[in-house]
Amino acid sequence: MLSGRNINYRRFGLQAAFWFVLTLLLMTVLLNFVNLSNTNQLSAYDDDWDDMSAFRADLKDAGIKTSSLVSSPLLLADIEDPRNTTYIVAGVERDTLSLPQFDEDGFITIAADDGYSPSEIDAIVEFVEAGGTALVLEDYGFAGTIAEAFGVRYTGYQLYDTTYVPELDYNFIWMCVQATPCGMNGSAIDQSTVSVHNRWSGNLGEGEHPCSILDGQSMDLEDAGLCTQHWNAGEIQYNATYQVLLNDITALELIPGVRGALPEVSVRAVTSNEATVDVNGDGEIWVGNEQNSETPDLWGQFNLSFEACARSTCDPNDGGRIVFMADGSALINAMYDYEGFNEGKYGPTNKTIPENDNRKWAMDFIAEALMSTEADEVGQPSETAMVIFDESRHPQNALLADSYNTIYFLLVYFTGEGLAMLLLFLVLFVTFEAVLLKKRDPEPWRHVFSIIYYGFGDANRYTYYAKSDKIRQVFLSKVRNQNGLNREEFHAMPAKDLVSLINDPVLAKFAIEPSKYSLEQTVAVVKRIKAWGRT
Amino acid sequence: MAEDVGLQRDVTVNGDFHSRTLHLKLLRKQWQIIALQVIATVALVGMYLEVVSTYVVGSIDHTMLFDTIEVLIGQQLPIGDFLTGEGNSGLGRFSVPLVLGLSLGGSMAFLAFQTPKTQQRIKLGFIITLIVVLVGRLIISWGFSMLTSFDLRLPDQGELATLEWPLLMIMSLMIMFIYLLPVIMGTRGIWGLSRRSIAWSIGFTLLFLGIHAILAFPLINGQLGTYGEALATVETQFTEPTIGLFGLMLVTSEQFALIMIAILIMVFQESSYGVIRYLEYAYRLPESCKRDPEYVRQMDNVLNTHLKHTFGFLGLTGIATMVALGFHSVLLDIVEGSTGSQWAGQVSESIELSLTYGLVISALMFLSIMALLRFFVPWERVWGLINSVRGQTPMTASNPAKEVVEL
Amino acid sequence: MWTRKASFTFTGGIALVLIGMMISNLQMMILGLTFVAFIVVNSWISGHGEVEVQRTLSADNLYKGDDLYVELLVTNRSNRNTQLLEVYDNIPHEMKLRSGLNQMRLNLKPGESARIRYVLRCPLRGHYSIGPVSLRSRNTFNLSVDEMYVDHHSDIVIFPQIKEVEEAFLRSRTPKMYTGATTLRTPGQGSEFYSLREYVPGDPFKNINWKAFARTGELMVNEKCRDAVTDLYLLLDSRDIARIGTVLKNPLEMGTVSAASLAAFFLKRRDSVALAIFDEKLSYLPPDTGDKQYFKILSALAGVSPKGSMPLQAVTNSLSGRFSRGSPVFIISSCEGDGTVPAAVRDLVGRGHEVTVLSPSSIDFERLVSRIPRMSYEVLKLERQNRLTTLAGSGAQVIDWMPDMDLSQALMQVRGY
Repeated sequence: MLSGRNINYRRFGLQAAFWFVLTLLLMTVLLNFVNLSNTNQLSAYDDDWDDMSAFRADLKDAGIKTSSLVSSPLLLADIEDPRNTTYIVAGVERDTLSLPQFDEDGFITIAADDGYSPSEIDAIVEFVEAGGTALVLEDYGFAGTIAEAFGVRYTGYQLYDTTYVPELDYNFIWMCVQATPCGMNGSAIDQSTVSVHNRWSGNLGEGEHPCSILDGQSMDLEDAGLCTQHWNAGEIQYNATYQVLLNDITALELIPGVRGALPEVSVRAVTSNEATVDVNGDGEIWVGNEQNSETPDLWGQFNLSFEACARSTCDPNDGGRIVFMADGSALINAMYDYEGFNEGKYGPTNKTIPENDNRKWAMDFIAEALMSTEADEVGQPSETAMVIFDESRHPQNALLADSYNTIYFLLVYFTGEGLAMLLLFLVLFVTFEAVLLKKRDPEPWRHVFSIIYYGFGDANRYTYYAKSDKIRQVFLSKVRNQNGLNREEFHAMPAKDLVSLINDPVLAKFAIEPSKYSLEQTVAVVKRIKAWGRT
Repeated sequence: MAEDVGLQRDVTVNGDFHSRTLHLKLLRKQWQIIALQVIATVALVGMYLEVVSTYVVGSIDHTMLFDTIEVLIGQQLPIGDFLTGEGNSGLGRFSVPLVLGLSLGGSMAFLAFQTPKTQQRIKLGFIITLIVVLVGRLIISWGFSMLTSFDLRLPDQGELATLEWPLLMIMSLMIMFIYLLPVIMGTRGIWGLSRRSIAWSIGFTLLFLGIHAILAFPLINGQLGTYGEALATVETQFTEPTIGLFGLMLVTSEQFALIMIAILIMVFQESSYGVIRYLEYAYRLPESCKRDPEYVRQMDNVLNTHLKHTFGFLGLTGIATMVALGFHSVLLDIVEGSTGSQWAGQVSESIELSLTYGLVISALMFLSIMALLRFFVPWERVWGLINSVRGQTPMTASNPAKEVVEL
Repeated sequence: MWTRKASFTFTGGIALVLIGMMISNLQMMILGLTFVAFIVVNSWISGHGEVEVQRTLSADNLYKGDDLYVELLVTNRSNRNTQLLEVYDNIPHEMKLRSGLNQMRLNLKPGESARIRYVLRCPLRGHYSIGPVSLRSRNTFNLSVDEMYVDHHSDIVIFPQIKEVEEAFLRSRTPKMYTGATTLRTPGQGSEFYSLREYVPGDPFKNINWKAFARTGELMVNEKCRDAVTDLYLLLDSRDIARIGTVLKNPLEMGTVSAASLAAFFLKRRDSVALAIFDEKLSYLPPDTGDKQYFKILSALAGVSPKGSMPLQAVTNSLSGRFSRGSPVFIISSCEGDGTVPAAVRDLVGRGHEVTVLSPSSIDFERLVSRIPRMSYEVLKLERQNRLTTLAGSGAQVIDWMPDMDLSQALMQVRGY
């Protein structure tokens, strides 16, 4: 009883230890992914000054369905109508879970330290190739791999430009979406340097913005649809100048010699000629003729936005496109909805954000991507228009939220990524086998009548009893018994007397002369012995 | 003490004990067994029709195959259109074949209960008929013409043409047989008490669903070209639910059809296997137990419970699946309404939820909650309470009047 | 506990859901979900209510080969139905089911009870225990199975069979058998007439001598003589070698039957009977008379099993001091594998005991289970005969008991070699 209890304790202890270790291991893995200390920002679903709720509200008002993607861009493969879908990545603040997967050469790889895994990048590329539109707003985060897939690189160093907003600070920089840089005149943009959007303005002869078709048409505000941002006093007044306010930006560059997934890559916005990049990140600018340890930082003109398209027209009907911008925060409430921010809608503030074209630019981008192609629906979003905000790489502030996202991530990963699918398949197979082999139902009860009994004698003695010596001994015992002699008397008896006592020549010979007997002879002798003495 | 123990009740001197017994002959006519078999048959037919209407009719059904063959060979198939259901539309194409399949399965089951000798005779007769139908006309006309012309020769073109009709007939019948395999084998299994046939029926249905699923997989479907397009597929993104309980819309009609298929497969499986299981148990009982009223009474209890549970648990399973599938919208409402946080917002709008992932996750979540409920709600006590309210308190054990056995 | 079916359904369900996701197939996912839902819904009800089990036996003691009637009353004491419940009464594998079945599948409503009746044949003597009662509750669809048992045991002793021993044989064939015994010419319960005396209230009516009553007009009763032969000693050989043979026919089995029958016979005659069983040790039941002694002897014989190899001389040496002078001694032994038998017998005879050796022929028992070459058999048999002759020569009555011979038949052939 005592030992039984001991075994129970031991078993319980062992199990407890097992689960403890397992939880510990799982926590270690998950803690890489679940990062609760980060403040959450750049989410389309939160309404702090640094989130993007105003943008999402505008989309909804325009009749566009908004969706979030909380697990993994692998899901983009399941989107049924990529043509009318826009995928927006704004600030990738954390890395992916590093799980094994196939790389493009078909080898298994585990390393994926750049936000998105190769299969996720593939899914994004495929989505864009299938006609989808994507917008990547990023600065120092983890979206670099997406850009690289299209032949563009985020430098990841902070960029300073002369076109900053003096009332605020040098982190707030103006970006004019045009081929040439714009300059400053005192505290404001020099309007003489302001030009128009290269493509949307129609200057290139193609890729004109769809709202420009409505230019000059008079209509009610409700009918303006996706061109509401150009509506003024009863008519659409399309204007292709964009002064976009950015904050804390980096620079973009083309990767020399690399051909991205889409053939037509063009620069959409640049810095002034006097921009500098703080390569060593010390907050000070040291530039020289060449980059060395003394003067590590860079100086000159940098790119702020790229657009990659399937066709030079960039017409969404002809194929997908993707736009990169060198700032993750271009669409945050504080800048996108500067009026609301200044009024204190997103909390008390002592800053005044200047008037900007962020909203106009963003809505024009959406308008081009999602406007219906039906002749009678010009200006209106298409019926299936959808904007997907990638929320999968924004840390959540609740453990529950993060676990929820993680579960989705794992599920999508294991049912969407080649290697993981293979692995899952294998696991399922093994589980099935295990159930097949290990799980046994209790046997049906049946009364079995059985009497187990081992009553065999010593079979080894049989040969011994067939030997003539033994037979002789048994015979002599019989003779002795028959005549009532004891051992001593019998042994003392002379052979002659014994012969006469036996009174059978064959047996007497057998008793006295030990010679070899054949089997037949032995049998005959035994028969005789049996019969002997009966009369 | 010895006098407390009676003899087995079968030990009667006059031997005329009139009570019901557990002999297969009697047991097979017992209403619970018949009821279970009827339920199984209805479920089988329902399952078949549901599968057929979801995946087969109008895309790959047998009448279309017959039409294609007729176009290929340039003539009408010998099997009558009223038998194949050609010319009808929708499920009407399957009504006559279904009846044929049921009767074929039924007669196969009936055959299984004949003596081996009769079985052998019937099988032999069937094969001979088949051979006669196949080559009879050829042999007669060929032999006759050889006799009349006193000429030993190979059959000519005209004589060989007589083979065409039977071959086409047999081919058509084979096609019909394959299409109706689940029904034929299922009916045979239910009424002929054959586990293997039931397994064939379910296995064939699942195999069909599996192959269909693989062929409908976009990656593979794309490779099939126009053939692939013919396959009926179920969309993964849904419309608004239209079917529900108590005014609460839970699932779309497509989902409901799929749930019905799953539930009917289970009803069919559980009732048909149940019948076999119980009959097997009764069959294995020794003669004395078969006659023992206690065993008969308990068999009744067990069968009644099975009937009740077939409706209760399988019905609940269906409802649970429906609620599980509809649960994500409920979950969304709860999350959205209660917290209003960033997470709730993004979850409610997440693309995962509108795809199947969210559906399945929330369904599994619901089922887990249901499973956990078991530990929080003392069902056993609830049951006991209900029973005692209904007046079924455990009285002192009812002592059935002991029948004195005269020896 | 989940059954194999449940485990399959569950893993199959999960697998279908996952594979359905991989290939974006809703039918698979729903099929899988339904499987899982099936398991979940069914998991709500598990186990069974409180079940009470009562077992009644037709007898607590019975003789080998007799039938035992068992009735098991299963009652549902709870408020809910027991789900599908299998009740199984664990019976020793040495017992054979003659009629009925020791199990039942039932589903009891609250308060309902069911009787399971079966008849066992007990072909082997021994101490047995019926029970515990195993219960196995299953879900209707065989998805969960739980096992437990009710620790309810019924003990039963199977005595060796009692064979009829005819007095005539023992008396006529062995006239000098009881020479050493002192017949007590005192009134008592016996068979022979002693005297006539007046009726005293309390005397049984059957003892009234009606003829004397008619003659004298007074109630007279027959008094009988107590014909005890003092003590009878049974020495049973239960050494390991006594196991040779089949389960029902081996020297030990035959020995227990003969010991029980002889004890029954002599105790019925109101003699005192003592029993000594020797295997690896010696167990001795001092001489006594009456039903109690009878029961003691049968119980002791029921529990005998072959083991050890104690020589007979050790037995007689340690017991001879206890043997009353001149009393008859029955040695029941195959006399195999023990060189001390002749000396022990000679010793006992020398002390004035009437010794009868009842010797089951172990080589013939061995022949029932092993193929003994003909010649070896003959020689073995010869050797055994030599041994028995020696015993007879020492003055004992020797009975060579063949396997297919009845006890009474064997006793008839008492003879000196």
